[in-house]
Amino acid sequence: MSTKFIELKDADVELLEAELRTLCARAGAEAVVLADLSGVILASHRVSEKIDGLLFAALLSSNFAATEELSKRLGVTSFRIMYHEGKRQNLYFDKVADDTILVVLFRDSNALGRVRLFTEKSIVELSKMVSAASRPAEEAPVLPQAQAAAAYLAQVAASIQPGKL
Amino acid sequence: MAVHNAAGREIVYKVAYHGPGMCGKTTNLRFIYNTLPGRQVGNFLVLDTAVERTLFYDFLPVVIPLEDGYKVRFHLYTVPGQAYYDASRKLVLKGVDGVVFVADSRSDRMQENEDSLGMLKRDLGEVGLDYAKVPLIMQYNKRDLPDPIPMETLDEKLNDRRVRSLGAVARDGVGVFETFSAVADLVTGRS
Repeated sequence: MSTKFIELKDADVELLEAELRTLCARAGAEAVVLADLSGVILASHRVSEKIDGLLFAALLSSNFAATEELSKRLGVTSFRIMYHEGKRQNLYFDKVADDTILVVLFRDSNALGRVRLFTEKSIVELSKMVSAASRPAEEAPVLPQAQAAAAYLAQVAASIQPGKL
Repeated sequence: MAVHNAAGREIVYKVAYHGPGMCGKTTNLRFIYNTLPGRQVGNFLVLDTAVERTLFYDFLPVVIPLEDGYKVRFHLYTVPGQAYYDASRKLVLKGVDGVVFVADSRSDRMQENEDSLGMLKRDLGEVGLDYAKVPLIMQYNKRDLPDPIPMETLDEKLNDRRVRSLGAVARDGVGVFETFSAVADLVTGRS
């Protein structure tokens, strides 16, 4: 099994989104995304419809994981923070917990120091929330909806007959 | 890691297709992408080299919308098969809920299959997962090519856990959805 299972109930998502909303306002950010390192968005604020959130999270998490691997190979304890500077917009990454990252998208008119300060403050709260929602994968409940989706895929497999071996 | 977002009525699983270079991992995902209706697949992200070898990974999000409004997502990734992309493979395996090991049935590819399986075992350990416990399906691809390695031999040499193994011709879609369905059954606990 995978190492962890995250279960976000209504109240959890409300708390996470409220914290991201606060961070966005304080840091003057355009958008913020909380994602796990397997590429799943846990919560976000102001991610526009123009951004494919799924691809965004997959790329961000692998970018962060690649940097972690780099730090290991260099013998550096950890590159906790990453910063990508663009022409008009910048991305700031910070680690929330072992398997979770926070990404802040902000304009170049905004100061990096401001983003960093408020991101660090938010991370303290977000870290507690993510920890509370996480549990070992072995304790994951059986989800009937997930099994219904698996049953649907079995039907698709049975109906698609591209040929037999 | 699996994520259940009850508020957003969404469940997400991560599945990695692992195997030696040119064994057909991307071809599996491409067939799924081309077969499912557009509302069930997201953008197919391919990060490859100029010669179309997977450099980093491929990513295909599949979403199954249910009648009660729930959405179950399967995030399908491939790992780069070449041995020297060790770091890329590990980052794809991080937090994985299930693995499909795609072996190449061509008679001269057994060593590559065994090497790749060895890398899978080692890399899983390095990202904190236990090969002996990870939900796993074996797919023996390229069964249409001349003189393939017998399925029994592949099982004997590769399938040390005696998990479910399926033959496939991913290029033609044979066995692709059976494999996807089998790994979905495992990660969701349906079987």
